[in-house]
Amino acid sequence: MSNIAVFGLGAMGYGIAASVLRAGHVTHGFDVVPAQVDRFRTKVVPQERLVRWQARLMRSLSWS
Amino acid sequence: MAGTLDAVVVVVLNAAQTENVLFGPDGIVSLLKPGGVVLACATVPPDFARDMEARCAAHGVLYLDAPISGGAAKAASGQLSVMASGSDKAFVAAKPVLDAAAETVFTLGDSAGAGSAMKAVNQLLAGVHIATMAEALTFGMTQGVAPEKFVEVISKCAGSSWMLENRAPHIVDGDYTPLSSVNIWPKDLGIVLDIAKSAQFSAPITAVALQQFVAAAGMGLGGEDDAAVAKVYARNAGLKLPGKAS
Repeated sequence: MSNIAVFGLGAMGYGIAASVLRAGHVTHGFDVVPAQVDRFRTKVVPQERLVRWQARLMRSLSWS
Repeated sequence: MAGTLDAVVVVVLNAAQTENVLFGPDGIVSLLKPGGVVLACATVPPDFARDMEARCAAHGVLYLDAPISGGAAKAASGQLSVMASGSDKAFVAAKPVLDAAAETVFTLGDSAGAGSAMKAVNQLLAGVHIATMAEALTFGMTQGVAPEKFVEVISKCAGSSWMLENRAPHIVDGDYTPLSSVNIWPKDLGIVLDIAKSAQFSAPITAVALQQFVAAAGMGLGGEDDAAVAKVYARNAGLKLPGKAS
């Protein structure tokens, strides 16, 4: 099991993140659109660890 | 700060966003383990991919030039095509992601750049094919060929293309929900033309297709599905496309 982050949850990134998660990896999904992140978190992986990572990474990143 | 991520998949719009994710303030590279890998999936110039590979190496991180193709449905089912290039170590480190997300992984070279070069070739064809489909569909309308008949017949004839079969139904349905948006194409065909110019290669058909997508964006259609390039032709010819939008 690997620890994997996917940046960009658009049409392609969302599918990749879901596929990686389905393969059993710890998967963190990020997007500039908060609704896409919520969609990934709630529909694909309601997982406390991911929520923690999400908060930490979003704090540490800034987007243009 | 020591990172804990084994792999980061960057599936953003362009080179600037890719660079920002990796190396912007508190870029993600610092959250990767030593020997972790970046899979960069955006369509970018090959020189940009080579630069990112070198900068990742300076941080002790591997880089796989990994543009993708296949569309949203294949992304969701883990059946993408990946046009990949990078070191053997990068391929090994990326294997868990590639196994999960890709049906076909093309190994195109032992350093970054080759994958992005192949993606540029694919985007040339994909963009031109979408614009050409729109031209043919609307041309047909001037000759009394209904869009639904166009799809029914041409998709089974020699003039078809993957893009025609995939995108023309959007026009028939009047559904421009952006699975892949108009705005992708000024960017991707712009990359094609930039690197073609650098190689002193003239790509006139690509240039015309690019202008049609720019015109669509200028009509306020940048956020619509790329099949909306048909609206440029429809406007110019006074045609009414199916659906509520004309």
